[in-house]
Amino acid sequence: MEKRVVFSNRWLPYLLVAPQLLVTFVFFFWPAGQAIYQSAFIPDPFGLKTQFVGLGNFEYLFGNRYYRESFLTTAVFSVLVTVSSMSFALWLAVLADRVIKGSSAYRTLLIWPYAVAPAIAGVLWLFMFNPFTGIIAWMLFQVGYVWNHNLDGGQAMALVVAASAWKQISYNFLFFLAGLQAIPKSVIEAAAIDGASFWRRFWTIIFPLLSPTTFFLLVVNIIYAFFDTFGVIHTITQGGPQQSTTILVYKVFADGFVGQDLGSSAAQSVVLLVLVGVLTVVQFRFIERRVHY
Amino acid sequence: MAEIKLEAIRKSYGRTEVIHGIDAEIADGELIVIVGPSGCGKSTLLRMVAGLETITSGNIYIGDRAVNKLEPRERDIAMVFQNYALYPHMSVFDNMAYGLKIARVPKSEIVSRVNEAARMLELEPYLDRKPRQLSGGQRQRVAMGRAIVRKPAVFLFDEPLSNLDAKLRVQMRLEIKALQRKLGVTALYVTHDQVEAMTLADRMIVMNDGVAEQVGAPLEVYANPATLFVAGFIGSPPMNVLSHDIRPGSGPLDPGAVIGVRPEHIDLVAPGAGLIDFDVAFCEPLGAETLVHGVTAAGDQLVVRIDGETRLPADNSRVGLKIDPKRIMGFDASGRRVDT
Amino acid sequence: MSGMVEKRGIGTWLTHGGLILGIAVICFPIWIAFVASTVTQDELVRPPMPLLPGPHLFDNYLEALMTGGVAPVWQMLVNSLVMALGITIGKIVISLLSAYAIVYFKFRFRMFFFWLIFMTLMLPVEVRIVPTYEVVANLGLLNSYSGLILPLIASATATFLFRQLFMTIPDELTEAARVDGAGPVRFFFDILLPMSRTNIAALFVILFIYGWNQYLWPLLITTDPSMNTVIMGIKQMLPTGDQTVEWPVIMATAMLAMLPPVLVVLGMQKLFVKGLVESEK
Repeated sequence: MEKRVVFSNRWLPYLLVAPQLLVTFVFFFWPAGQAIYQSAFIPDPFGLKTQFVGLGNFEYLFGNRYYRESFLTTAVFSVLVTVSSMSFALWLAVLADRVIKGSSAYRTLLIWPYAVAPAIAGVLWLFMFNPFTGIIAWMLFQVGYVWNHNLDGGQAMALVVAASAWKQISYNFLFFLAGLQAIPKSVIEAAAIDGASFWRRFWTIIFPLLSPTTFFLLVVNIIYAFFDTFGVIHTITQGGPQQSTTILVYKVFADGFVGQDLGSSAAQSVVLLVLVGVLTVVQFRFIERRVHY
Repeated sequence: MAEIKLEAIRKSYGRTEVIHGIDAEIADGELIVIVGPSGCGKSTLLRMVAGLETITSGNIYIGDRAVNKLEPRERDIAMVFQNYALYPHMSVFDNMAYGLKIARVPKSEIVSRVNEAARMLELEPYLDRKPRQLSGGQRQRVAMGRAIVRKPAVFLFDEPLSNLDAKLRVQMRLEIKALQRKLGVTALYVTHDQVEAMTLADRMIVMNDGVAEQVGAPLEVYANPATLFVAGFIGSPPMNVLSHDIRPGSGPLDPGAVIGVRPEHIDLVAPGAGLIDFDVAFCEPLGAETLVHGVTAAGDQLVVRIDGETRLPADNSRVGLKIDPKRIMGFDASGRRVDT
Repeated sequence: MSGMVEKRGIGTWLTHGGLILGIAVICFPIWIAFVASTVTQDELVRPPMPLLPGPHLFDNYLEALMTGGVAPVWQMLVNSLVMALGITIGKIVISLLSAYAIVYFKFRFRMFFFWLIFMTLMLPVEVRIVPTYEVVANLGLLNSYSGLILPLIASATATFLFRQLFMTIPDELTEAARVDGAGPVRFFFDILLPMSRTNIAALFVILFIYGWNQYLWPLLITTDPSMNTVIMGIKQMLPTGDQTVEWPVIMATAMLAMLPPVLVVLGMQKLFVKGLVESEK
């Protein structure tokens, strides 16, 4: 797509793109290049020289049990966050779509958690589930269940998933509601006349027609779970106990800043880079197709 | 097959009443057209019969069952929507088969019923296509097919032709009528187009502002409109409305009362030879007929329809209007017909 | 007003009941945080904590604002505000300019530049933290507002959004402006900017929340407590090991930290929804 009318000016366009290009080069391409470059070296024990190891860092990385486990942890974490957040949001959106009176009040009350930072979400959930003083940990104890996410990896995972999914519900709700409202009412009425009950209409008409929205949200939620949940993990579990909540992004941070293993951290950055690239391509392919059913 | 009975149907949204008590009886196999201007409540009435809107008060019977409390699917009806409301993610075949699948009709029968409907509607080559791959007329047929395969007791049509171009509209109008005759199913048909209503209806219900102004066969309604609204709404160009009585020997009209005369019931004669003289403003030659616009000597605007081959009167000329006094209808101040 | 299917009697009550339940679940963590910020430490460390607010709201918030954790919260709020506004305004300005150049000018490397910007979509800061940190350190930008803001302001999303918007502005308008004697600079300020007003406002809302809620980046580059932002500062206040912490003050800080973005969302709901839907397409 091109504009028919364009201005001609020798230097102005370069001046206009310069700020963005400058920032992009200094803070995107230079670091990304650094990451790729560093991923091919290991520093000597004194940090004085580096030694070229080719793909050695990657070999080491994928040979490393903790890194492979981190992949698995990330997969489990992302799937749980995405599925729980999206299904809860879809349920709320279906209800809100049915409401005639007061729907804007419901919407208002459901969208504002979007503004809560992941790190704050982490603090709030940590507080509720604090093993000694948390209100929900206490309630669980009353029914005979001992909660201590500092010791139990499964509980730790459940907690970071809950906090991450909670923060994302508003976003999913808004998109699902918009998707539902875009389905022509008469199509649903036609299905009602064709004899379909509410649940039948939902699964055979509404859900298929919502699939572009669902797919879009799937990609967005996976990207969210991969990268934006760092704050949740860092405030609640710091990746523990025993690495049970160490997702890939957290590991880059832990190895690079806490462990000072720059070669490995750089190699991990490159792996993540490839992952984001794939996800982005998937997302864009989908946007091209989204108009069709 | 079933008759439909509407008993004192009312509909309110909050405190606003939009339908003010409608009664009608529709015989088995009859095609009734509900016609009226937009916002008159005709679609709401149809949607109440379908079960898509709740009924504020009154009763609707389909066959001998009161259906007020029944869900749409329990009413044994099928509906064709204005925008067709086809399921965009299903093929033409699946669109038509959907209702049958839900009703757990055996697979072989689904196939034979859908194929039969497709044959009747000339949709056979398109059964595997998605709705978006069809033209407007084809989509319209799929919507019809979806209604037919269900073999319902009642067909409901909500302005089914208003999204088609003029030529296709005329063609589909004839097809719908032929199909309804052939299947013998009771049908309720909503439209704002009075020509569509005239050509399709066995009987029509003329609605205005939530009230049924008149119920009757098209020609009877045309010849004998019960109210000034019906007189103006049915017929094109509409009936002339005059505020001065021109019938021989008549006195002045009551305040607010008017008389009406259809444009085709007036002939042009020499000045002074008719009931009243008429100043021609301009002529609209349409080919088969010509519409002559002007003002009577008493000051009323009027249109006369004359044969297209008659010599046109000159603009600004004065002529006489010859009208059979029996063709002139009187309406009182509330718009009701008064026979004199 | 539209006719609905099966929306009467018990169904309506179930719908409202379900929504209220959902809202209760979603709002519960915030309510608990609010209650915790209005009571004393003693009430919190002996479970169960109260479920209704206490009388210590003022004390706790005052203590948070004035004393806080490693730095007083008012100072962290100021830092957060500067960072959020810097990122928001910076992103909008550079994106507007580059989108204008790419849409309205023909020049060498136009598409090449476009693709360079496009590729940054694939590089969220979380992916390139270590090398970006090194770059910022080399430039001497640690513990500075520039260091907080600059690495986060290049945004392919915003550039795309403006490009999309400019594409929908009819060519006739540009032609009319040129006939009226407007050059590229005049056209930008007199026509393009006013026409993009609501889009800019919608983007502002989204970017403000994005900027305010940044966590990892400020955590890395602000070692000086006086440069901490409130979102990361809260983490500093959390217990490490067995030490006891002042939960009421932490919760008061958490409430203060979410207040500005929540107010923005509630106060500008329409713009927020518009911005969200457009920027994520």
